Amino acid sequence: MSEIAIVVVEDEREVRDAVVRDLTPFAGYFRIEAAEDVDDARTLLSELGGDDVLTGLILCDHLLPGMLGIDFLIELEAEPQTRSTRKVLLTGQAGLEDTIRAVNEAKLDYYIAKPWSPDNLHQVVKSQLTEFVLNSDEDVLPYVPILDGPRLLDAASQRGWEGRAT
Amino acid sequence: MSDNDIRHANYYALCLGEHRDEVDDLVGRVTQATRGVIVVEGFVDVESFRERMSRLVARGDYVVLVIVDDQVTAVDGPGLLDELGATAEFEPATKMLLVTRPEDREGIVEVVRPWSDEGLAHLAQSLVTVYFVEHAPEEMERIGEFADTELLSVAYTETEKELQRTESQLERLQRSFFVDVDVPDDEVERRMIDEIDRALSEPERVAIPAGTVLLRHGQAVDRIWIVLDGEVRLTRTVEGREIVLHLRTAGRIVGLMAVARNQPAFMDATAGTDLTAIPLTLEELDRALRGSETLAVHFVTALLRSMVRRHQRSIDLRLQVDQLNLELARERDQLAAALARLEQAQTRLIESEKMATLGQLVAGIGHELNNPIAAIGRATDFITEDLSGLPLAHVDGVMMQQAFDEALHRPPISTAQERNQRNALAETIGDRALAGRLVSVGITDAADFERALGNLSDEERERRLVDLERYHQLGLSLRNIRSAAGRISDLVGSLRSYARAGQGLASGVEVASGIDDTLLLLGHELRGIDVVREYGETPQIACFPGQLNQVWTNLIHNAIRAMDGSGTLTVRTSSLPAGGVRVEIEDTGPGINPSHIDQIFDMHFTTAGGRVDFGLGLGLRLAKDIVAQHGGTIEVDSQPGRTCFFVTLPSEPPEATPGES
Repeated sequence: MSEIAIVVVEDEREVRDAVVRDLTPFAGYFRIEAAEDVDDARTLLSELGGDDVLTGLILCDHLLPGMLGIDFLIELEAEPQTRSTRKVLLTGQAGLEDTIRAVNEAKLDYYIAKPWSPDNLHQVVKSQLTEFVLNSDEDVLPYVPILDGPRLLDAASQRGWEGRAT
Repeated sequence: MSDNDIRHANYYALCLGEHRDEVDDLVGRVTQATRGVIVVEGFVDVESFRERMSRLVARGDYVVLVIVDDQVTAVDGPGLLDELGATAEFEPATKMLLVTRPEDREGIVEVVRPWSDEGLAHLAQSLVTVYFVEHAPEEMERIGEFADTELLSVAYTETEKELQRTESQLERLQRSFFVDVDVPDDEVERRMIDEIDRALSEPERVAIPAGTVLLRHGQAVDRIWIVLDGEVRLTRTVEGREIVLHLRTAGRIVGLMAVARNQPAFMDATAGTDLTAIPLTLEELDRALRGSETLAVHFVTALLRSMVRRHQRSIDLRLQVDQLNLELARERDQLAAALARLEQAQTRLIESEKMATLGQLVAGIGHELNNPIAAIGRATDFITEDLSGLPLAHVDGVMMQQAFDEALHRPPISTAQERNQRNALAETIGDRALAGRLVSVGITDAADFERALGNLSDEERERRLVDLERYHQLGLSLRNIRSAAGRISDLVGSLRSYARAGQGLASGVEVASGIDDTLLLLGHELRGIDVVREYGETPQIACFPGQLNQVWTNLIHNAIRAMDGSGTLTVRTSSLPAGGVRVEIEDTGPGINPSHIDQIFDMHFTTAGGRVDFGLGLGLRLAKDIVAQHGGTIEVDSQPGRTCFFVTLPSEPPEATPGES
């Protein structure tokens, strides 16, 4: 079983600290990584690839130094390693036009407005990672306690049934 | 031809015959009949005959008579004469053919053999007479000796009659229009009225009070008015206004134009004063004209003169109208220009009004935000103060206090550094998850790890690590609150100082601080852009700081947009030799198109491709106006990769204040 990572890309330290801390409930199941800009995020992703860690979810700020979060997500959509990664934009500043572009071109999966509520954040992370796990070849059972348990169990019994059928 | 002018032309008769003796005989008889006035020549050779004719005509002499014998064997006599008749220069000559049998040929006088000498002579005389009557009446006396008197008298009578007819026509014409040229107008009119009185046995005079309408525009006219005394006004009413076309130029005959053309009146005719007039129906006018030989002349003369006056008046009116049109066009252009200036001024007013409103709003919000920010700031300090000794109460007090203090005060490291520390530690202790937790609470190497968590059972170690994480997070959160609150506080401060916009003239202003406020407030646009501040020693100046903030905002905003996400923004300040400050705002964008550079300070000029930017639509024009109000200058120098705006500001604005804000 491969390890799955949640990557936070956020340039403001205070915000980054808060997001990372809000992700603590997932810490026992997922590797939580942070990057303060796009360059560091690229390094981080290649390190994760080298360690055979799957990037399950990217929470990305929109206004990053030198590059818009949207453009970075579009870039990741084109990479085989991160194509199936769930992509969530975390921002208070993206305009409607940017958002539409993100949905159309980056297959943006979700958009969280700042300031966020931890409940909402948890909900989004949970459902997005559930999608990721279901679409991967990974064993879904270890994630039942932390993600969407009923859906994962349904899927597990479905897979088991299919397994028997073949 | 020049010799013809000094030489008297001669008249010739040419004879062509078969035998020399016959021809000579003929020549002798015709010469005798015409008393030598006509030079008669004889030919037996047709070529010599033709040559002689052409030569005579060519040198300006006249061939009066041609006589051809039809018995000339080598020649078709009638054909030769017809040919001469069809030739323009020989056409006037009378053609005589000597024949045996007459054939009544057109244009040819046939003389039938045998002719009597007397008859031939008389015929020759008659033909020459006819020629002179028709073609040379002024030389008639030359043929006086032999002219056919009967024929002449007939011609004379006809001419005389013709002459008389022409003269009488001429006289009538002259009487009509030219005889009275020297007679004054009132004399012509008096004669006309006399003739009317005579022809119609003194028709009734009518007294017409001033204001009476004689003719109404558009209505049928059944009589004309001969005005004896008083003035008639001819007017048209256009859009409810009466336009006087003729007053003194109306003349004495009113209504004739409409009557003559059988059309409705095309003007109103009103008695301008009390009038005395003779009304005449068409029938009466006709009777008068037929009853008097001279009335027509006087009437037409009076009418012509009045028409000439009316026509002149029309021309004058036309000129006046043209003049008025010119003046109107000039006024309209001036109005249009004034309107354009007003619109510009209005746009600027709205813009600065918008900025002022926005400024008040921002100042209000800034003020309101101050209280919660102050509360957050103070509360953070209180928590920090209250917590300062608390970690020490823990069993592992020193360790907890250290974790707390470090989180509170440790300078931040980059995410990459933190990851490197974690990787290194994971190598050492062989547990990546644990290494991550340790690094985040500040334990970065094996020695520290040993010191903090060595020699502990797993259970004890976990409990202590959780406590360490708790105190660390506490310090971290406090630190983050403090820094976030500080940033809000800075923003609010800049907002308030920026938004003191247009609150009048202030002295002792540091130009650079306004630029710094602007940079801070535009911070969200500055990501990816390096900001270089090269501030020199500058004097404090008197200025309208809020308005200058608009200048900096426009210039910096434009610079940022030009660089599109990456580049270097350089802001320089320096002092001017004469006092005052020079500010340069330079970007590394692609530069301004040289064909646009002259327009960039114009109203509404934007290269932003139709994008609307809040509050900055008038951008550079506004900046230029504000700088100009301060008595300063704004200039631009642009090339690809480097565009710089230079602003100079004197140490204080000129006397004239910029009005309002």
